[in-house]
Amino acid sequence: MRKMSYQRVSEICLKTGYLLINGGAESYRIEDTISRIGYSLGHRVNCYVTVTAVFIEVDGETSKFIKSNLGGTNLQMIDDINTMSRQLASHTLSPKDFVHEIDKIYQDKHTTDFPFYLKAFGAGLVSMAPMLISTMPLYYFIYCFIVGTIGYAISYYLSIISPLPYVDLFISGFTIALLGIILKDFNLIANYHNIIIGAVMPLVPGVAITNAFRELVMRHALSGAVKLLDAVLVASSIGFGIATALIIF
Amino acid sequence: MLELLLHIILSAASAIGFSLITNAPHRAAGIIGITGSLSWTAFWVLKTYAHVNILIANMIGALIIGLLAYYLSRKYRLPENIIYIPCLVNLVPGGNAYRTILYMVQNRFIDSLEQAITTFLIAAFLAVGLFSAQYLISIVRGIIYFRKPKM
Repeated sequence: MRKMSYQRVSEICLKTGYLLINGGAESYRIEDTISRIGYSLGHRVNCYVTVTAVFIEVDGETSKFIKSNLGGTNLQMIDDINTMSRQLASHTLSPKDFVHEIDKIYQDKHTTDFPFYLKAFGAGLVSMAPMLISTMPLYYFIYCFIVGTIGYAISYYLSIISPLPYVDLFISGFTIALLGIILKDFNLIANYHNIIIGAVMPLVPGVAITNAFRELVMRHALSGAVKLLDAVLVASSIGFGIATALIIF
Repeated sequence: MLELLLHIILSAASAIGFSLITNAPHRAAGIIGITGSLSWTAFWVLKTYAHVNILIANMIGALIIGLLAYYLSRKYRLPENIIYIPCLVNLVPGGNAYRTILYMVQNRFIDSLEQAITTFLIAAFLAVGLFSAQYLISIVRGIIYFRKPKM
């Protein structure tokens, strides 16, 4: 089998790392995947992944790096790349097809995505949190569903409109608390605490918290600490949004 | 009994809902539902009927997620990450975090601090549960690995 040139391999590895970071994978998994891909392509690849950058060295000849941004989650992308690298290692996918597929995903910047209405429905399901069952009557879950869907939709569209982080979560937290207070004023519910707790659940930074803990445990302290800080900032921006609404009204 | 059924259904629904938000692959939805509902139900039964300390109950819930995720991800060839993330959302201490903010707004700072510490402890014990799952797995694999050459 003819080996690929090391420039081409380093390019492919960088693109794979970029896509995996954007998908929300843990850094030690990214390093592992990249060195396995390099091995299957017939080269020795050293790489170092931090939160927002991938450094790569192929065969001691060339070293490159690529920059990425924090945030963004696409578990489908992680699964696709994982499956492809496994197929590459077991020789069911030729290196040429692999390069072609990675280039295609890198150009489009996304894989198959759920439509927005399905995501909003999922947010509604998350809002009906099982921890609230014994604390309130069952028909309250309908209000939880509606308020949670609205809150998620607001944060979804605001994050598309404006590139600034954290503000969209502040505003959606504010709106959720406001809707809870309005429901209370119309005497539809007895108290708004449970509605707010449920409706905030879809905005929880689940990916960041989980990855941060798993990375800290594997002693990737740098990216773990940064992701933990990001998770705390996201959670407190939601919290201060709620606090603002509670203070004003 | 009806309440138990409600817990099982709602926890599965909420885990699958979070997997929709984070755009998990279609074929993982059933696995995520089963794992999420088993871990939450175990946590709830331990907390309500067995009167176990809430921290230990959380730890056992996270332990179940870790073990199931290891087994199912090997069986169905998925990254473990995909199973971990949506299932943990049920166990996140959202109520305590909300009460921290609420008491802060009401100028009850001592109560607020108490809730904040509870939130932190629950999150820490979730991490302990996940880590002990990994540790158990690595110990078992190590024992199997060391016994093989002698045979």
